[in-house]
Amino acid sequence: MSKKTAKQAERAPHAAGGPRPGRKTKLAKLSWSSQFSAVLGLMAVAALVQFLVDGPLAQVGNVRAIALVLGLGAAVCAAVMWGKQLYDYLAGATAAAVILTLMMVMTAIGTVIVQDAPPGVFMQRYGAFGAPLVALGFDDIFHSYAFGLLIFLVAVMSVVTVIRRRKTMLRWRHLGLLLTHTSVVMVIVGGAIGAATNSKGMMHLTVGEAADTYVPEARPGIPAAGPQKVDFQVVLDSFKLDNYNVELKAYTYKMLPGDKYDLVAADTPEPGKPVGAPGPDSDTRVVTKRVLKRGERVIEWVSAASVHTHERGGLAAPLRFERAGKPVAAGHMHPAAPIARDPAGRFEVRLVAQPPAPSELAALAHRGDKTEFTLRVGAQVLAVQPGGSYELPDGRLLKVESFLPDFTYDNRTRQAITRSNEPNNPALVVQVSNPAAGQPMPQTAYLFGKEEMRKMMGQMKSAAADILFQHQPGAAAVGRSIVVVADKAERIVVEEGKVIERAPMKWGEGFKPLASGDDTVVVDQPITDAVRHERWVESANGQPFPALEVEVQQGAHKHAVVLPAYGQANPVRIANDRILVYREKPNKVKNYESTVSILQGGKKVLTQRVKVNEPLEYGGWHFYQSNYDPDNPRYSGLQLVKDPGLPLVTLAFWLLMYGVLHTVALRNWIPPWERGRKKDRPDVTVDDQEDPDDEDDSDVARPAAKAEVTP
Amino acid sequence: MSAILENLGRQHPLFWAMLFAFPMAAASYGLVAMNKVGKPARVTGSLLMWATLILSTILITLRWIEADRPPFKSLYESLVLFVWCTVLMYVVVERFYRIAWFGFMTAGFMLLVLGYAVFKTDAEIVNLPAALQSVWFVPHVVVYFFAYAAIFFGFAGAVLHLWRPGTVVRIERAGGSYAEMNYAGFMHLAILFGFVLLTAGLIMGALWAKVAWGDYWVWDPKENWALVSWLVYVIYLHLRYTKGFNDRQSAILAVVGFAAIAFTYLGMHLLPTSETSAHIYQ
Repeated sequence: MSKKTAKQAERAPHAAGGPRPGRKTKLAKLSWSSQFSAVLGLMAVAALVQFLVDGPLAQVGNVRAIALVLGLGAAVCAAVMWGKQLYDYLAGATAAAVILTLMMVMTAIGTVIVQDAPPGVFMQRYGAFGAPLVALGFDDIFHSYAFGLLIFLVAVMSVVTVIRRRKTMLRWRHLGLLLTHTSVVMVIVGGAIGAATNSKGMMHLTVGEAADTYVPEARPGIPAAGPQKVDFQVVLDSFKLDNYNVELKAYTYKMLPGDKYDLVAADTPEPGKPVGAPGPDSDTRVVTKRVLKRGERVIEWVSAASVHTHERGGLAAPLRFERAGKPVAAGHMHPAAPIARDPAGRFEVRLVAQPPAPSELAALAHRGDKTEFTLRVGAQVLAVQPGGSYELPDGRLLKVESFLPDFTYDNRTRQAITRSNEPNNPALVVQVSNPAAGQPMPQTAYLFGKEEMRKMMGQMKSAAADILFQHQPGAAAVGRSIVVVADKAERIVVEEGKVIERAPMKWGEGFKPLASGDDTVVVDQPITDAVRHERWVESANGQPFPALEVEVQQGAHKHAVVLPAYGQANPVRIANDRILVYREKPNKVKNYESTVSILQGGKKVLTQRVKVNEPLEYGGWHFYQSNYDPDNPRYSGLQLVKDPGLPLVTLAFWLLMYGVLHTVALRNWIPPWERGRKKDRPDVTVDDQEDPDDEDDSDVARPAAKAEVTP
Repeated sequence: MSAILENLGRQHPLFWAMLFAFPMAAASYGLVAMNKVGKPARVTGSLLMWATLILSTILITLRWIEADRPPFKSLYESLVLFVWCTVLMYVVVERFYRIAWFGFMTAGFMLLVLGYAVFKTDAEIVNLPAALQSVWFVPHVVVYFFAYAAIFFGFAGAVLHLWRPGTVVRIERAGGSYAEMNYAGFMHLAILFGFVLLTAGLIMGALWAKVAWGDYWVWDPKENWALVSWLVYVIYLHLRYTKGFNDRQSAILAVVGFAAIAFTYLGMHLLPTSETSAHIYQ
């Protein structure tokens, strides 16, 4: 019997089809656990080398290059010593299974253990396990030597597989195998080239400016390099950010353990219709009353009896300051701030229930020297008066509203008030706007006379950070105090502690607070059980300020709540674990793009749009639209990448795709040039060790002729 | 529980129709498989599966119009797409491979998927972020869900083989002739098809990542698990072709592969590393 037929006889069980057991090489005959242990052993050696190279031996010059050379040397030695066995083993499926399984396990570990975290964060998270994990390289597993060894082995296996079957590799039937394994090697080589030689970084651009440097991407463990130059200039011609149409909805969130929220419902509110999803376990129902587009909050002090509240309330009265019949300011005297101060700082009005004792009157209205205030902006000094408007050197407009000698911020009424007439914390309330710079809306700011107060109260972060208020001592007290006694409908005018005048108060009728001038003060009927009440109105010409007014009904109890769309969310609790807010629909950024021009040697060579998913290519670099700044519409962040390995990897992907398709679907077709090929063709020499046809018996498209009956 | 009822109430009537159609199809196929009834029940099952294909097509179309974008972003949307892909593939496969138990498993599995979709229903149609506005979006996602469907078919074949290894199934060939194979043969064909699609999806993902983020592979948890599940099938092919893994061993590997795919699709949020990934359903 010839060698051929003997071989065929050995293959006989498979003539009927079905997978056949491959011929096992010596190494492949070892038990699975031995094979795994061997490779794990190699990985452990690699991990040890990494530990030494990164740790104790880090100071040794070129230590990484030495380690690499030693590793390759060891591989060459192994190849020389056990060449044939290794060659057969690595070309076989058993080796593939072992090494790919270990690769899978390492990859999975890399999804469980946080990768690329800053060292402090990593140690904090893993506590006692942190150090061993770092020593094993698990904090950056995909760049560890052990993982690199696995990738190296995959590459070697792929090469060996192709070489071992070289004699028949170009046959149609085996093309798939050639392509898939070659492309795997190409991906690994291309990836390695890319990892070793790529350049990546961020270029920060502002509209109208040119840049020729980028900030290299930081890699943990490697010290950050400074900005790198490129040999061309990038000019940001324009930047555009598109938003989706703003939608305001009432969102119901369920509160989960660990401060997390789960979105349960998103409703578009309609007046009169229920809104929110309290769920069947809650007895709360919410109905929309009004959807405000230009909501404005009006603060009133109303009788406790007229609103639903448990508070008893206190003494309050509305008052207005007028000049020549025109209103200057309006507000309330109320339990938290019973003193109203003339905006120009000349007098105060106090609301009390009963007449004060003579000693109390004697302490009032001790005047200071000045009612003038000095501001310093840069080098310029400005004298201002409350009520006045001024233009600052840089074009900003400043309106001085009022002076508060003892500034405090009342969180309940959300107003700045003065606690007393003593200059304990002198402050000017101002409005700053900058129409020339596109900020016409005035912003309220507080200028503090005391240095430490500037810092503490956050003036340094406001629009008036650079305006210094130089407070003159004595400019605190008002010259005149008008005490309005609610019970007796009387007013008592005091100057320098002496009572000047007593007069009956006619509520709602104006009286002259000063001896001369055309100022008038009007105090309306005081309310003895006044509570603070907010009312939201649709302001005809106010700023757009969306808000949702709802009625919350819990059992038999109803109350109205207004939910502003912006600012601090004050959610309404509609169930034990659910809240309702009125917010913009999230993720409103639709897309953003830059138009850039590239200048080479000063000359414009190209102008093109860079958009997310549409990068620009120039000079071997790819430019990606990466970042935007929500606070700065003129900023664009581009990521620059140069990857020499890219073309190889891209080609490899296509070859892999075709190779897989070929292996699965196309290989059973016998091309015309191979027809008539039988084992009697002379050029088919069978390798002594194996028959190249050994591996491709499977019945891909040919179904089994008989069903397999398993014992 | 109440959340599920609330979500059920929010579904489209056609969704409800699918929730009824699948159990009825499963029951029909199950009865046929147990030889309790004859051919008409199989036809009923088949018609019901066709009906769910039409229903899911309409639902996806309606949502595409309402959202003004391909409805494949959120977990809920992807689950409905997965149902569509699986049912489409099923009706094609059923033309050639009439396996009643397979119909039963597919219909039953689709019911589970829809049930999970009820649990995970979106509160609103979310905006599509800039990163997903790409020509790659639809192909990458759709190819992957066809791949998952094929992998599920492989899993079904594997389970059936492990349960009843000796069964012979009949395959209709072109020209009216028949051939025979066992469940494992069916499993293998499904896995071959699935593997091609998984490879395509993986490569598309890498090419898209290069265009969107500047790098074709960033070792992100989702990418890593896609690689792991792909590797399971690479190992499956190596062992079955060259080492001669028999049907039983291959079936066990197919079950492992399905578990890996399921975890890749639905389990990412369980990972400690998920906070940093851009790839995971919120």
